[in-house]
Amino acid sequence: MRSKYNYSNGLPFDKTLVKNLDAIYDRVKKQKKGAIMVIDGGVGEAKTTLSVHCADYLNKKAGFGEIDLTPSGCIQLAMGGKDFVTKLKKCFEERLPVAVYDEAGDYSKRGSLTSFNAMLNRVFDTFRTYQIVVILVLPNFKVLDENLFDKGLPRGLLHCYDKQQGKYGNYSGYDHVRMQWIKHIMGKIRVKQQAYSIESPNFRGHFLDLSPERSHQLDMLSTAGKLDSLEKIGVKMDGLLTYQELSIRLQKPISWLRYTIRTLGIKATKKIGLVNYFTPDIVEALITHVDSVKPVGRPRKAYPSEYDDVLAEGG
Amino acid sequence: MVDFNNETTATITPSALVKILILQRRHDFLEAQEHYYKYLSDDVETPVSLDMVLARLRTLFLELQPMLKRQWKGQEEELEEFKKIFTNDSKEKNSIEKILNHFVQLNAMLDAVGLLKIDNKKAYDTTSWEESNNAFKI
Repeated sequence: MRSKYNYSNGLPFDKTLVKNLDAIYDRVKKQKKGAIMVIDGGVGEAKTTLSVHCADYLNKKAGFGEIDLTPSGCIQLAMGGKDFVTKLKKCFEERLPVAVYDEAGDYSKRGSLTSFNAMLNRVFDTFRTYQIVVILVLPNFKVLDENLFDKGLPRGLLHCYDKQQGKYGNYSGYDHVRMQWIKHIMGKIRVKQQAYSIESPNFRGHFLDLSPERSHQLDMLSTAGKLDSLEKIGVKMDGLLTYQELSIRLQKPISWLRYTIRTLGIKATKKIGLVNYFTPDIVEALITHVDSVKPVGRPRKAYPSEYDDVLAEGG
Repeated sequence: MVDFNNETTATITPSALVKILILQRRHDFLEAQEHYYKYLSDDVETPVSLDMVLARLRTLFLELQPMLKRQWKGQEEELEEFKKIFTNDSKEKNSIEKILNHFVQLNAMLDAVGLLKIDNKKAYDTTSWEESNNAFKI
């Protein structure tokens, strides 16, 4: 029976996607191989909603309920790289079949791009036995490392487009080979989004919205991740510095910085999560402190200069 | 199709040329039988001759004869049977059905040696990522 949130098959998406999700699940659970499913699309195309639908389906297939979207209990939907690594481990401990990584603005930074790719490579090198389907939610899958493609890890792509607000969202499914072609075409043309139209998809489909309650929970989660990211960007714009950045500027170890800042009684200007931020003035204060501190140990004896005798004689 | 007056034909390998010639002869036969049936259905009073159809089958047979010897080793009777339809004594007995039967035999042989086999692409469900990936051994 079709409803506002489910099609006649009892799911918020069609049977073709079900078939593909089943195949990915079997690959991970039965064949014990690694698999990444990528969901990409422009801003506000309901990528995260579709990822939650897919995760719900895989969870139910493994005998679990829908994924928990409450801030305290959400371990299958990670916002950002660090969160993802922590939650992936938790998913393994609880034998959950799927983990979702949502970029939440984190992936678009060049630094995090490299570190995330490196992390993902490491995760799949060492934790294949986790038997977890990883769903990556990105604005554009082109940012994924070539190495992941060489390993054949991304098994399929769902490209979200043209969402009909309040009605349904659209997706196109591309297999690994088509993904590689799209990536290649993107490198050749000016308007990268056109590449999705040039390469024909394996299948197309619609998906429906989450129930209002879950949709609200997801909004809260997603917004929290994005706000955190925005706050961090704001801090960067203010020119505030972290311990790592101070360490690079002053060429001093972080442990020394922590000790000195505590000794001098300097308070952090801002604290986001566990990260302390300081104003740039602190650099001057620390340099002055470095100059004023006498080195520990016996004072150095100056070597006699060849002019000492001349100076002693008065000229 | 194959132009022996053209200099570039000399650059094509004999096997490639023979393949084209065989396909050409086969096509000619199909055309002849098409004409035969066309005139048969035109309801003309003049009796329709099988000569052209038979002649074209003979050409195809002669083109393939060395190959048939190899392919039908141990089936010499079939080869003899085949030859019979081209002799004058049995000409009257030939019917279009008999000629087509022989052609079907040749066709099957050409398919077996791969000359007509074009449906060799692996069939898989293109709407399935995994089947599609597996088809490319990924």
